[in-house]
Amino acid sequence: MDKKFLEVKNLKKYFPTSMGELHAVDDVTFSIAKGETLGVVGESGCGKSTLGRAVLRLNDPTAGEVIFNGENILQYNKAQMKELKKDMQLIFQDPFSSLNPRMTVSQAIAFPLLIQGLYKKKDKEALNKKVEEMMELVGLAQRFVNSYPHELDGGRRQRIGIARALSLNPQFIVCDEPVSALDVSIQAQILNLMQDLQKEMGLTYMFITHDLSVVKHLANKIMVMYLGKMVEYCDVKQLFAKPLHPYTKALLSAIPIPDPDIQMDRIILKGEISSPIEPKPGCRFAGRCVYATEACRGEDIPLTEEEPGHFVSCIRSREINDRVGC
Amino acid sequence: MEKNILEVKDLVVRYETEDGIVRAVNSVNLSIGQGAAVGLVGETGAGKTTLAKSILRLIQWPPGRIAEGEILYNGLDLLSLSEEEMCKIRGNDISMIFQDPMTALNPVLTVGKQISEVISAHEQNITQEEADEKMRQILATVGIDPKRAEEYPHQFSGGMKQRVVIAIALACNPNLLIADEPTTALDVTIQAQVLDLIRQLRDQLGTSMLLITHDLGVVAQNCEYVAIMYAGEIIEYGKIHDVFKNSLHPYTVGLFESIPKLNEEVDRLHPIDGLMPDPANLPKGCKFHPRCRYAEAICREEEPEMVEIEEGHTVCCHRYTGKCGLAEGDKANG
Amino acid sequence: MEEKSLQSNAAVKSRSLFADAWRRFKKNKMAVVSLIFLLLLTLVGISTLIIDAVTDERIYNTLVINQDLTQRFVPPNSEHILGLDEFGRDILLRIIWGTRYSLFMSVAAIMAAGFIGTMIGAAAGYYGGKVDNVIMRCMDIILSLPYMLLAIAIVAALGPGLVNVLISIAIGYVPEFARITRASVMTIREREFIEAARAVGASDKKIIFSQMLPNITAPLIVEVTMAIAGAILSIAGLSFLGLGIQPPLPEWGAMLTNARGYIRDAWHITVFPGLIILITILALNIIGDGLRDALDPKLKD
Repeated sequence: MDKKFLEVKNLKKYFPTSMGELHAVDDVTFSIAKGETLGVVGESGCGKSTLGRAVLRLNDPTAGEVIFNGENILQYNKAQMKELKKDMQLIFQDPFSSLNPRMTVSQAIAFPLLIQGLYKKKDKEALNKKVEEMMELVGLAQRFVNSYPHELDGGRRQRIGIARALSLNPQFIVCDEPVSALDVSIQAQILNLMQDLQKEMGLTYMFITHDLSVVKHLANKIMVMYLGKMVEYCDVKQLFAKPLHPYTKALLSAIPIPDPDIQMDRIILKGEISSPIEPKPGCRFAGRCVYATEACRGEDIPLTEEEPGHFVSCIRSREINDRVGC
Repeated sequence: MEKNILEVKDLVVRYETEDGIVRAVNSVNLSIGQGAAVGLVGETGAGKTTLAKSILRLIQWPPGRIAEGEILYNGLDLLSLSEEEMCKIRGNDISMIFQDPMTALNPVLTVGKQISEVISAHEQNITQEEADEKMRQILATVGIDPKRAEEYPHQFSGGMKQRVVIAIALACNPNLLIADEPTTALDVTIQAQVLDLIRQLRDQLGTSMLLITHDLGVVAQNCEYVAIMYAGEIIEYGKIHDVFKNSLHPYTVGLFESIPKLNEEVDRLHPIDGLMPDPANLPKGCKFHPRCRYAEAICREEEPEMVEIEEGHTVCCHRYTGKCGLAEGDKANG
Repeated sequence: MEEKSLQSNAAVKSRSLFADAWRRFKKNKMAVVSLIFLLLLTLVGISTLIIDAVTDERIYNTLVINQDLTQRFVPPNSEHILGLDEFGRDILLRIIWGTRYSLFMSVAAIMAAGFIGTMIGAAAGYYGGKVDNVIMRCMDIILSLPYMLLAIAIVAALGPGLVNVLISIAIGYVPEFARITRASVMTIREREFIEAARAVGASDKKIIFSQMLPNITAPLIVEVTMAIAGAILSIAGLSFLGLGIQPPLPEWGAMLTNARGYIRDAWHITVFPGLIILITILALNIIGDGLRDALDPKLKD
């Protein structure tokens, strides 16, 4: 499929704070093809959740374009936006706070359908049938239909969250850390479910997470963010075979591998993520980067295509990676 | 046989709630050798934190109570001590790092004050100046500029706060450090820093450690032994290499198959079916049998005993007690 | 996609948060006793309304209002359990007929205050910014006036009478409800399920009414119980000052004020109205505390 399904161009989201502008998302450009998964990876505070919400226009982006099926949705009016929600949905990280504690499972799943006017409240039979259908789709037993969220465990709650998002039959779903609050055995169940649903319904995912191993498992393309900026953007295979940006390298090496035979050469980063408020021009990672030089600090580093389809924003990437190669 | 700094024998901890009696820790045996690091792995509700807290006798009554068993620290039964004697053990001999660095620090005291208070509380005849001096040294060891001693916890980031918590825990050179998910709330690059710090400090001080986590990767890179816990019981224990490379218990195997791996290509994960059992309503027999693909009649009836398969590698499963028909053939395949 | 029904034999019984709260509330003996007392009082109050409707207020006129000066200050006896007052009227009957003024009027006043306060509090909490600032500063102004003084001023301006008393009581409680609602709305405004509702295209109105308000009923219910207690006192207080319910209507506070002059000669005409006010307030406060414990979300999860 050649036509781009979702395209984001130079998207920016700044928040005004008392100390100046907070650059949560700064000049992000990417595209996702239909049926694919883009993994967005970064640490807390890198702006990945803000990006996900900006793409859905749940917050109002400061600048840029979000082109969905050929139209810039940032110029949509209220009615068009409401219509658009049928196509674009969101799955949340925390299955404990993303469900209304006063709504039963069936109410939660039916809510979007009623809001969008796809079903009428009076038409109980059709609505119940649809809810049943959705519960079956996400593997929730029918006996929970009148349960409240607090009676269910995290995995089942996350299934409700998925059913709610899918009930409108969307094409595109932003998944904001959907498994990071779950235990590993439950996490695997949910990841499998999401993979199956993607195949079955032809869904396109934007998968936001801090967990590189989850992204590797699920995504086709990957985007690494640091302090609101994209630092690397490429195919999953390319990234894991040969990460180019020093931050990506550090991130990859920091993940503890559950195999006692593999002792990684850890790159322990010095210091911590700096403040995204009124950042100085230059590479945002320069303060923690072992390769940083004066040239890194002067002006913003553009994203360049180092290899076909492999974008990285580091002016020294060629030097660094050639040296490692030798 | 090396000397064990801590031995937990047949420990039973119960919570008596209005919904019934919850057996959070059920006949657990665990020993930690001098200088060793033991990882305790399990999912939410497995009883990891309860076990850790009961070692320091921090279980709140009501509703919790240590019902049976012994906890021997260098041969001394901690359960027979008075509260006063126990206070001396806490911090001086055994200290604990909690999961959430945000709530472990007192927000209205400066960081330096919190550390020096611990020092003064545990070392008699120490002057304020000496305690402050020692506090600065400790801050420097955990990688915080001693000048920041006058700052308050909210001025520190999550990783820095966890360093402060570690500084407090290590202020009196304890022999045993219990770390309860010390890096779960932190980002991976910060997690790497903190784990690196803990490793360095252990090398310097020779502290033994019980590291509680749900992350098999963290255990693999930081511990020598590992105990896998499920529904209040330790179901597999052994050297890291033995347990990771030759996992015996079906639950352990399931855990490994559930995690997406960075170093392997897996198309589809193989999760463990079902959910953790309700701790107030545990199944009869082996606690894992409702989720186990090898479960047989005996698993539903009889609780399995711990058996030693190879040196120091024990497992609690009927497939290895010889009572289950399939055992031999499968083991060869596994 | 497969969820093995491992515990399928265990029937899933669903308890809403309220059902859960009720289960906890039932364990609180004092609160249950108070609740029963209050329900009885309500029942008695309602039956007086029915009796009046059926008998065309005959009983009311002959026994509750009608004076019999030959029977003044008769102490409690088998015929008149609580005795007769300074005009020879049965105190028990007057207390029973007074329920409508004390209890029902306060309930009505608090309901009105609760409704208005919740609406403006929700708007202030949800929209924040300027809306919040304007609304809450107005509320602060009302709050900065002593409550009783405000009520007196309103009644003095509008003149005594049932409706005016009701208004004066209600206005004083609006800021209470607005503050509680605003604070609760602000704590759940950032919760993800609100965002989820927004993500499916729900309007602000829909979000406030179907997502937020059901989640803040717990503090509001507690506040309603406590506020009713306060309102009963205020009505009694206003009547005591002669600004509330006017004689000969059998309002509890009015009964007290009329009896006050004879306290040395006939203890029973002051003690019983005083006692009923005291017990009712106590019951309401115990119920309020019980509800607070039972609804406390901290006990859950």
